Amino acid sequence: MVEWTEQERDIINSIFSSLDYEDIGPKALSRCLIVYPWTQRYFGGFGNLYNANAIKSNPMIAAHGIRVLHGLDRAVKNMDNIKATYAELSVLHSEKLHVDPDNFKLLADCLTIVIAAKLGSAFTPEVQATFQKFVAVVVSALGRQYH
Amino acid sequence: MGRWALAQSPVGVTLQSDCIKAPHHHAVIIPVVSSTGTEAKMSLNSIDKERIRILWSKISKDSDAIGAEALGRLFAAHPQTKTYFTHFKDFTYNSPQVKEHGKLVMKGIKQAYENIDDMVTGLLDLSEKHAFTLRVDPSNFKLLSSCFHVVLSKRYPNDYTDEAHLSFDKFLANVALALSEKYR
Repeated sequence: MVEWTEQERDIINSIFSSLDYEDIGPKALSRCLIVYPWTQRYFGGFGNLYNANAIKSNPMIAAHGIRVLHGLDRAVKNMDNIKATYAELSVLHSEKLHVDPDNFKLLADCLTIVIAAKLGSAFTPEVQATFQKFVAVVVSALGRQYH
Repeated sequence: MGRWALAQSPVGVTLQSDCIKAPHHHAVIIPVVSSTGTEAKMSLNSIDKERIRILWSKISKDSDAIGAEALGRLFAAHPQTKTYFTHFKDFTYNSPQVKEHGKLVMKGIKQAYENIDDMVTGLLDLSEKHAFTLRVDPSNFKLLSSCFHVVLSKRYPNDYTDEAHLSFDKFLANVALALSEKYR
């Protein structure tokens, strides 16, 4: 069971309530596809990913980025039960989407960086530590059902 | 991007019965890359190459079986790696698909061995394949390497000494780097 202090809960809630999912989601996903181009292997049907500009302006990618952020929101609302909350999503990513779970870490890193850019000096080392703990739990839960 | 460290030749070089006389210590430049999925590169010195040559002479006749077993173990111990093989029906090491793929992997390892002095050039075709078609996340190369170590040490307990393991690990790390050369 993951233990969260009151302070950690406040930090996570505060971060996510300050985020515009429509902005951050697309930014995080497109950054991941640009910085780690091999992750594009999962987006064959998403149209033009030919270069960074194409990725950044691709509406299907943007929509998917927003979807990912809303998925994360479920973990924020169920911090004491992230593993169970994501059990189905984990099965989906494993059985249907066949996503290598190491990619979750790459996307989590990109999300951290995009949020850091947004929050600036408010993204203190302590806030970062809490956020990284949160994404680590999410990443672990998503990889849980792979067999 | 990349940070570079100046270091002494890695690991105290001592005379072993299995290696040629140690050359003097030499400084090596080790590129230390911090992004996920890439490793620090440690170039192969003459001692490593001699150890790998000796090891290879012992294992190459079993190469297909080694490849299949390493893959079978990879799939069993690290199920996430199966995501790259959605067309496989059976992931055990004696299934026809795993055997065939094991052969293919060992063919690549042999190509790396034969081009040990310049793997980047020697593995260019494979590098491009992995970069543009296969796009295997580089962290998986480390997982496969660890499976190779298990297979080799279990099959050749007397030959797979600590030193042989060391040099072969460096070799596989260099293969992985050459394979991910074109990734970005």
